[in-house]
Amino acid sequence: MVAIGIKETNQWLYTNSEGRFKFTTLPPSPFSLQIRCLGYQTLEISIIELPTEFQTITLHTQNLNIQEITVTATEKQGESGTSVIDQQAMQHLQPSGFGDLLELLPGYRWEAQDLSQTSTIKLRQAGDDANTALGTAFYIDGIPLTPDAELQGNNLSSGDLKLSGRLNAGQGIDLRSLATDDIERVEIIRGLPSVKYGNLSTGAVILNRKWGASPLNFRAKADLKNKVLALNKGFTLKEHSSTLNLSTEILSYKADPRNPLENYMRSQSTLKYARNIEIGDGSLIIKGGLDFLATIDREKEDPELNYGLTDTYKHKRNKTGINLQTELSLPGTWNKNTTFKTAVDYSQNKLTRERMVSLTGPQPQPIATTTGKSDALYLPTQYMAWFERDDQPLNTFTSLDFNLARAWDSLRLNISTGAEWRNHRNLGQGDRFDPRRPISPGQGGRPYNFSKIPTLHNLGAYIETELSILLGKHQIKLRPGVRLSSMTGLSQNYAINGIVYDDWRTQATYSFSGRTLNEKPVRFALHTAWGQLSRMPNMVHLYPQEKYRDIVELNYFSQNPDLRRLYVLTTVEDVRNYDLKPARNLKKEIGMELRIGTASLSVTAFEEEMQNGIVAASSYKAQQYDYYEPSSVSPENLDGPPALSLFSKEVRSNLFSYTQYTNGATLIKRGIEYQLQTPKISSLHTRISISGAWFKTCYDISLPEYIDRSFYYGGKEYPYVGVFNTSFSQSQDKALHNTNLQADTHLTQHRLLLSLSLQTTWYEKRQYVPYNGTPVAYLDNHGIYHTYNQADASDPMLRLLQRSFTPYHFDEQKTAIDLGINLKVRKEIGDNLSFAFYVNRLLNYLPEYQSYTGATVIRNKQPYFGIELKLTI
Amino acid sequence: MKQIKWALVIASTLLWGACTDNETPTTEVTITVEMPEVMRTGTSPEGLTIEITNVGNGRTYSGETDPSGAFNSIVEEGVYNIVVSGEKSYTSAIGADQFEQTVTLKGLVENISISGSWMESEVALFIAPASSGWVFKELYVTGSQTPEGKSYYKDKYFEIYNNSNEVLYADGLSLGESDHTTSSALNIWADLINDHFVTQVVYTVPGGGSDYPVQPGESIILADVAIDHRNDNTQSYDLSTANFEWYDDHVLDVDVPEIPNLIKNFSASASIWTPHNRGFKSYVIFKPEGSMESYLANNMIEKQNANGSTSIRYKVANSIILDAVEMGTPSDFQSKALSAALDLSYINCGDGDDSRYGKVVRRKIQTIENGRVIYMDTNHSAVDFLSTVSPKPGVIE
Repeated sequence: MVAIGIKETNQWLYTNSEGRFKFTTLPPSPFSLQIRCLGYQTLEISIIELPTEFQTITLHTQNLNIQEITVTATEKQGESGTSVIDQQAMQHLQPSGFGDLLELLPGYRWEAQDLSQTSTIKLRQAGDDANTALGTAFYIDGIPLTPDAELQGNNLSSGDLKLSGRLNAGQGIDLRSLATDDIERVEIIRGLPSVKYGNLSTGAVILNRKWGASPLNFRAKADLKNKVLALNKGFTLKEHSSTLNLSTEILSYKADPRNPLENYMRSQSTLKYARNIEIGDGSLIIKGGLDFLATIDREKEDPELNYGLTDTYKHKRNKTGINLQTELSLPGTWNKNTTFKTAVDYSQNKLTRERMVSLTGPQPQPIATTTGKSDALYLPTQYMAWFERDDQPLNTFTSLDFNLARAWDSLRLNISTGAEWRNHRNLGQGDRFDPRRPISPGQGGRPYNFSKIPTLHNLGAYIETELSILLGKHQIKLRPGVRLSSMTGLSQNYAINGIVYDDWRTQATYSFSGRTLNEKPVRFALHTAWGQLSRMPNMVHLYPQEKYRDIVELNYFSQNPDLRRLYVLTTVEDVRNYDLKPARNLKKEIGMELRIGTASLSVTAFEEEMQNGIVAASSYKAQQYDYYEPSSVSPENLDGPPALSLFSKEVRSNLFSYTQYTNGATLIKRGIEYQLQTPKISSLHTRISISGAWFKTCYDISLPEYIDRSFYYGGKEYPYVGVFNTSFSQSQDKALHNTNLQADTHLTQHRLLLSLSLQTTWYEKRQYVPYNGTPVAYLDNHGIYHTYNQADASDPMLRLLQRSFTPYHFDEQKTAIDLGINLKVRKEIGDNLSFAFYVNRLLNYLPEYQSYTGATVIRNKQPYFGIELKLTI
Repeated sequence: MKQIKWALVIASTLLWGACTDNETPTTEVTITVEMPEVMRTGTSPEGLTIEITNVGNGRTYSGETDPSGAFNSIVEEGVYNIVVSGEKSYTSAIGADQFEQTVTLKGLVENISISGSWMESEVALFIAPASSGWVFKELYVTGSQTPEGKSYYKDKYFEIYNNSNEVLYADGLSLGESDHTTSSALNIWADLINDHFVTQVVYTVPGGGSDYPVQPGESIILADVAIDHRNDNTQSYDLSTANFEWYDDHVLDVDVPEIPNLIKNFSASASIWTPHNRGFKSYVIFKPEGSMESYLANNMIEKQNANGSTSIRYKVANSIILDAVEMGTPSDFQSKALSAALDLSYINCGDGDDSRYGKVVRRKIQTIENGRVIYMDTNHSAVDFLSTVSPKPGVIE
C-alpha cells in the first residue's frame, strides 16, 4: 500500500493490490507527485507533461545500496525554519530516545543524555528555560501530546522522596518518554508553525509513526549507559486494503554502571490498524492506534544503610492511549479533505514511600488544614511514615479539519479550517499521608487531592489560506492564517476563563527556478514569517496547592510530658493566581535558500519576543500573631497543660514568603542559523554538511525581586525585606555560537557509511544585567511598603538591605572553544543485517582558559561509545 | 590465616620503615626566638621549651633555647610545626610605677618546610593572656546516633567552668561559633585574625549582672534542648539539669519552660542553629566591654558570598574573648579560625567518622587545690583537651 499525493492540491490516495493508482482529476501541470511507502525512500516527481501510457515508478528501499543518501537533518522547502529528520538520519544516529536527535538542529551538538532526570527541549536559544519547553507542542500522527494535567502536589522534600530532577509538571514534555523506533519521520518546526498547530508558544515537533507493511525489524543497541531492544513489523491484511503494525521497545538506563540502585526504564508498545476504503473516486482512510508506555524511575535504598529494611521506595508511570482518525478525500475541481480525530490517554503515576523517620530531637507537628488557631502535638522522635502520590492525568482530544484545494493555470488555492477540543483532568487521589506522622517533618505539607481539581477545557479553531501565484519562473506563495484559542470550565474568578485569544500568523515565500547551472537545476527562494503564538497555562499553574503557614504561638515543652502544650496559628494561603494569562510569543524571521542540484545553502535570521512567560515568583505577606512566653508559667504548680490565659503575651508580626505563578518572565531570542550541503564528491564518495547557529538569548524577570536577609538581631528576626526592581539572579544574557561540520563517506558497493562530525562550540557567553544593588523599597514586618530613599542608605539597619557584588560579578563570562570529533560507522551485510557503532568525543580540543573570576578552567571530556545491530527479516 | 597476613603486613612495614629511615636526608636547623617588643631589653630568651613536630609522621624534636634564644637540632627533611612556650618575668612600667610580672610566652610557626643541609628559622613570641577564670570544660558538638544508626543532634551542649578561686557571674556571657570552617584551605577573615574572631552566632546568658553566680569549681551547661534525651534516644544523655537553652523561635525547635533561654543576640540563620556536626568550627566565650546594644551596633561585618550576595557576621575583639577552643580533625584540618594567641593548636572529636558520635572534647585537670579542680588552660588545646571522650555533663572530677 503506497501513498501517492499531489502536493499542490493536497490530494492523496493509495495504490491498489497491483500497485496501480488513478487520479480522476488533475491540476494543470506542472505539479509534483509525492510517493511514500514505509521502508522506501520518499520520491518526488515533477510532472511537466502528462504521460500518455502506463509508466512504472520504482521505489528504492532505504539501505546503503543506493546512490544518494542523507543522514543529516534537511530544511523543509518553503517552510519557515523546519528541520526534517528521516529514517536514514535517525538510523545513523543510533539513538536511545528522542533527545539524541536534537544534535541535528542548527546550533546544537551531541550531549550525553542523562535519563536519571527529566529532560526537556530547547529551541533556538543559548541556555534553556521552562517557557520554551512548555511552549513546544509535540504531535504524534496529528494528535497532540500534552503535559497539561500533570501535577506535582506538595512542596515536600524532593530529596527524601527522591524526586530531585524528576518532577516535570509545568515544564513541558519529558523527552525521555519518547522512543524513536516506531518513528518514520520527524519534523521540528523551529520557526513559525502553521495555525493548524495550537497551544504553543515556541515551536512544534511533528512525529510521524510507521504505518504500512514492513518486514520484521529488530534492533539491539548498547552504549555506556543505555541498552535498547526494539522490534516492529507491519502486516498486510485483506488484500492490501488494510494494514496492522506492531511495535515494541525497551530501554534500560543506568546513570552510573557501578550503582545498581538507581536506574530508568522505558517500555513502549504500539498496535496500529489502518484501512483504506474506496468511495467512488474518493477514499476514506480509517486509522486506529493503541499505545502503552511504562516508565520507571527507580532508586532503591541501600540495604546496608537501611536499618532493618524498613524503608521502601517505588515510582512507576503507566500510560495508555487510544486514538482513532478518519480521513475522507473527495477529489473534484475543488479537492476536498475532511479529517476527524479523537484520542484519549490516561496515565497512572504512582509513588509510594515508606520510611522510618528518626528525628534529630523533639519537634512540633502542626496539622490544621484550615485557617485558625488550634492545639497541635509534638512528634515522637521515631515513627514509621508512609506517603503516596497518586497522579492520574486523563487527556482527551477531538478535532475536525476541513481542507479545500483548487489549482488553476497560474494560481493555486488551499483553504484549511478546523476546530479542536482538548480536555484535561486528573483523577488521582493526589498526595496522601498521615499529617500527624509526616514523611518529611518540618516541611509543613498537607494531603492534596488532585481529583478535586476541575477539568480544563482548551478550545481552538483556525482558518488558513495558502495562495500560490506562478509567473513563469517566479513563484509567490502567501499563507495568512488566524487561530483562536480559549480556555473554559474554570471558575469565574479566573480572568482567562472564556476569553478568546487570537494568534495571527503569516508566511510569504518568493522563489525562482527553472535556470540550470552545469546542467543542474537552480532554485532560489526568499521567505519571511511573522506570527503570534499562545500557550495556555497548565493545571499545575492554575491550581497549585494552598500554602500552609504554621506559626507556633506557644511552645511549652515541659520536662514533664503531661504538662506539654503546643498552640499553633495556621493560615492557609490561596496561592492561585486568578490573573494568570497565556504566555504569548511574537516570532519574526527572514531567510534565503539556494539549491543547485543536490547542493544547498540556507540562512535564516530570527527574533522572538515573549514578555509574559510563566514563572514562579515569591512575594511576602505580613502575619500578626500572639507569642506566649513559656517561661512566664512555671511548670511546678501545674497538673495538666496550662491555660493560655496564664501566660504573658506579646503581639508580634513577621513577614512570610510564598510563591505564585505569574506572567513575569521575559524571553528574547535572536539568532542566525545556517546550513550548507555539498553534493556527493564522487572521487571521495563523500558529502560534506555544515550546520550551525549563533544565538543570543536574554532572560529577564520583569517582577520586583524580594531579598530577605534572614538573620537574627538582638533577639528578633531582622524585620525588613528589600524590594529590587532588577532580578540579579535571573536576569542574564546568554549567547553561543556552534558549528558542526560533518563528512559522510558512503561506499555504495561496500554498503558502508562512515561519518566524521567535527562539532565546535566557538564560545558560550553569559552576563548578568548590571545593577548597583540599591533597593527601590522595603517592606517592614507589618507588611508596610516604604520607598527606600537616600537617608535609609546610612541607617544602621536599613543600610543592610543594600547589596554589594564582587567586582567581576557583572563581567561577561565566556568559555573558550570546545571542539570534539564524533565518529559513526554503519555497515550492511546483505539485505538483512546491519551493524553500526559510534564514538562521540573521540578526540577533543579543550584549551584551558581564564574564567571571569581569574581562575583557570581545565576541561576534560571522556569518549562515549555505543554499538548497534539491526536485523530485517 | 588472618594472623599470618597481618604478621606479613607488619613485618613488611617494619622492613620498609627501617630502609627508608636510613635514606631520609637530614637538616641541621637553627631556630631563634624573637621576644615580644616589651621584653626585648632586659629579659633573657634562655630556657624556653621548643617543640618541632613533623606534620607528616608526628616525630617530635624538643629542647630549650640557649642564652642567645637559639636552639639547634638535626631533623629529617619535611614539613614542620614549631611551638615555643615558657614562662618569663619582666618589669613593666606604668608612669613612675614599676611592676614585676610573670607571663606565659608562646610562639608558633606552622607548616614550615625544612630541607637542605642547613636552615634557619625565627619564631616571634607573644604574651599569652592570663586565664580569666571562665573556661570551656566540655564541648559536645557532634551529637549522637540512635541505636538504629540515625543522627540525633538536639542533645548538644557546652559546659563552661569557673576555673578561678572567686565567684563569677555568668550574666552577659556570650557564646560564639566561627564563621570559618577549619577544613577549608582559605580563611577569608585571615586579615582580621590577629585582632578579631568572626562569629556566626551570639547567644548570651541573660541577667542584670549578678543574677547567675557560679561558685569557684562549679560550671554551667548551655544546652540545645534541656531534657533527659535518654527517653528519646537510649544512646544520648540527660540534660534536664542544664542551666540554659539556646532556643530558636522556629517550628523545628521546642522550648523547655523549666530552663531559661539564652538571648539570641545574633544568628546568621533565621532557622535553627546546631553546632558543626563534624567539629570543624571553633568556639569562643566572651563578654563585651560595654552594653550588648553597643556591641551589636558596632561590630557587624558583611561577608561577600561567591554568588555576589552578602550576608551578615559579627566580629569579636580578641581582647574580650575569655576562652577559645579551635576544633578540627586530623584528616581535614587546613587552616585556623583563631589567632594563635587564643589557641596555639586545635582539638578533634573523632576524625569525621562515626567514632565522633556521642563523644566530647574535655579539658584536662591540671591540679586539685583544696578540693577545687583546676583545669589546664595553656591556650594550646591539643595539650589542654582530651579528645573523643564520653560526656560527663555537670560532673567535675
